Amino acid sequence: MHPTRYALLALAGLLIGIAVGCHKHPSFTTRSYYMANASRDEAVLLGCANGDKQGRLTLFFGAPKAVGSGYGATLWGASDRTAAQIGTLVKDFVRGYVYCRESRSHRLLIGVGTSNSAVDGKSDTWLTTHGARWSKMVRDVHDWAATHYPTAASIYGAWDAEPSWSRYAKASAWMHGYDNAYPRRRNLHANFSADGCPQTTADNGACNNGWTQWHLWHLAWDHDPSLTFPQIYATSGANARQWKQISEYGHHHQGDGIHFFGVLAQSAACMQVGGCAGTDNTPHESHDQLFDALDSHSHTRQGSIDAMTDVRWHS
Amino acid sequence: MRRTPAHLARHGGDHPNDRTREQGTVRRTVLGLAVVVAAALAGSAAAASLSDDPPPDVEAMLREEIEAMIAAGVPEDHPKVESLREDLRAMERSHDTDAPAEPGVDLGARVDTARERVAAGASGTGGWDRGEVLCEPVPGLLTIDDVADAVCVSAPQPDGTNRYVAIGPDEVAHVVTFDDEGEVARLADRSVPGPIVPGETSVTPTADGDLQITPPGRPPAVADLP
Repeated sequence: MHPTRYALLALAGLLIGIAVGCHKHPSFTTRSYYMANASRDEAVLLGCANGDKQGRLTLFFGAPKAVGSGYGATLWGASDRTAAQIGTLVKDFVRGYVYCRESRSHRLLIGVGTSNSAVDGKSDTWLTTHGARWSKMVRDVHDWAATHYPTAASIYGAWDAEPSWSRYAKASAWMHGYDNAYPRRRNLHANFSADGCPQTTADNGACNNGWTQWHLWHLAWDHDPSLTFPQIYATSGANARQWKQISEYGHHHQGDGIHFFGVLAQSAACMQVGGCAGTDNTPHESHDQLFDALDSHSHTRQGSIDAMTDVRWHS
Repeated sequence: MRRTPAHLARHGGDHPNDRTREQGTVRRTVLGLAVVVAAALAGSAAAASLSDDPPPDVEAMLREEIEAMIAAGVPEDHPKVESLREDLRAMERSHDTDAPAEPGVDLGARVDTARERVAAGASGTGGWDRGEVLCEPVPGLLTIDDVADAVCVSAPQPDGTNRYVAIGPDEVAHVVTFDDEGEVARLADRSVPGPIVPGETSVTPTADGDLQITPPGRPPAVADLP
């Protein structure tokens, strides 16, 4: 073979290798947590254990709940906590992180999350007030971090909203409460699922439980605080395709496609619980699936997806 | 008619030059594939080593996010863009700011104390709930269907672990175990005495970590938990 042909083959191989091997720096793959432990000491050590990380993550607390005479959330089997107590746990996490971080340039963008589970039985007024109280707690913790640890942590809201977990109207009520604290409210990691949403069409198709693509687009992107940061769990690529179609829907029908801020995987939680067949994408797989799905059309293409996080249980 | 040369007759009609050419083609193909594979491996290793370089910082990430949104058509004065810009400005200012320490907080001492208390088992989980609790999915372990129309109970165990139990109208208990070291797992379902009527059937944990179930108008019965 002519030497030129060998050179061309080598170049082709090199490009293939770079493309296949390209991924984000490991420190940008953060750890997110389902917070099923209400111990303040454990929260400090959890923050310390994440001193090797920087970027976006979410500390997920449970369902919105009345706690005593106030508003708070469950921690699954651990004792319920008020919003203020949850804020204290987050502060403890930040304290541990600040002390242990490997570099003074490391910074975490921490989402403090609740969900839309168990809200169908609650009044819209209660949910709106809970959203507002959550928003206030997030703002208070952020102001504290901005005062004492401004180089180390910024605090955001976060929300694990899933169509199967509640009617849309109830989820919407909570979001209105969170959003109405504008301009004082912080942005929010929209760590949503898109259960049952279409994978190949973008004409406001149906998702689970009466939700539609419009509902997902509206809550996860259209609402001003929302930073779209979805669950991309399915190894089949289904979740990536669902979110690509939701963005396509936004582009065609609302003139406003979605910019994705990151992806949420659950491979670590899957290992903890003994496996989740078919929904255990690694963070890199989640990233690459969503990136490639968005890249399949000029309407949804974006240059990069910057955040990758992998959720696990903290109990 | 051209007679087949004797050496072709001996080798079934193949000319030695043909075999040589064929072998040469195979060699060139194999060599070409080897070049492609080797280059691909080299490229992958190069990409990996680039990713070992110090990563861009979070401020660079925010700048990228803002620029990408604007490039995609989000107006520059959109509240989402403005809020991220505000965050970025605050981060940039933070490098020139002497942040006041938290009054009365020594971070090193706080971490040391936390380590000592956790090591001594004095920290626990902040407490397990005991009794009926809100029914909600447990991500990856209990689905919305598992907790639908259920009575849910938190049942601390004598060994310090906890069971989150959802008992449906079908009188089947779905059980998740939590401990204080990150171990979370779904245990085997088991049948319990019924009927289970939310709001009417009382379910309380026993001191042994089992459940006492008292349906309306019936005597209590104990259900063992795994």
